[in-house]
Amino acid sequence: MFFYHDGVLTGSAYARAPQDEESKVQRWAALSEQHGTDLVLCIASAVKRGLLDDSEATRHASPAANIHPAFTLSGLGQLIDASAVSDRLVTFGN
Amino acid sequence: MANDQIQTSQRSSERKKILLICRQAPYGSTLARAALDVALAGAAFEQDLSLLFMDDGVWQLLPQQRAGAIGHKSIEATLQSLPLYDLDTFHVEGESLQQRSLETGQLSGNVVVLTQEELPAFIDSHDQVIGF
Repeated sequence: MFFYHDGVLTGSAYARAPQDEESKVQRWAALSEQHGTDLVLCIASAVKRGLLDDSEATRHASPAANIHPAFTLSGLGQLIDASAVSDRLVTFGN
Repeated sequence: MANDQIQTSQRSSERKKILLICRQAPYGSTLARAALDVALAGAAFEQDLSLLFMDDGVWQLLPQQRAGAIGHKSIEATLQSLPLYDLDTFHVEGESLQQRSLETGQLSGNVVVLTQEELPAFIDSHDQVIGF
């Protein structure tokens, strides 16, 4: 799974669903744990929107990381590489 | 472990035909920029890329965009750099131009116009399609 543009907001550790709704980030984390699915946030899209992992938080002198630990940040090369080795590419949103 | 790595590098060497469809105006969102970033990344990974501009995406090809006036960096320089990476043709949906009273002569780059009837076969000729 590769998240880009506004899709990277999916990986926020601080997003809180309304009480009568399920937490999407928890469901993604569960999917990743059960099936070993990589959850990758586009690093450029994420940093632009203030979503940081430990090393980006340090690099940008920000107080703390705020992406959910089930997610990682990586470059667009990852999307291209995944496209090149996959039989199917399915995109949602745009 | 060593086997996995070998397998990964073999799979990575595959060359796929990847189509990027750009459908948004250049500065209302960062999607136009995102598409170009993917195009550059794809070129770096030696993939066979095509760009299709349709709907409001055709506005991206107008020259002399002064994006600095709204605090943005123009996408024009990046668009113009794409031929350096063998991405020298921009495919454009003709109906999208007509609806906006645009003509191909107004657009920058080497533009190939496709009709709506030609689109399905064009899209189908690619292995992967990514929308922006």
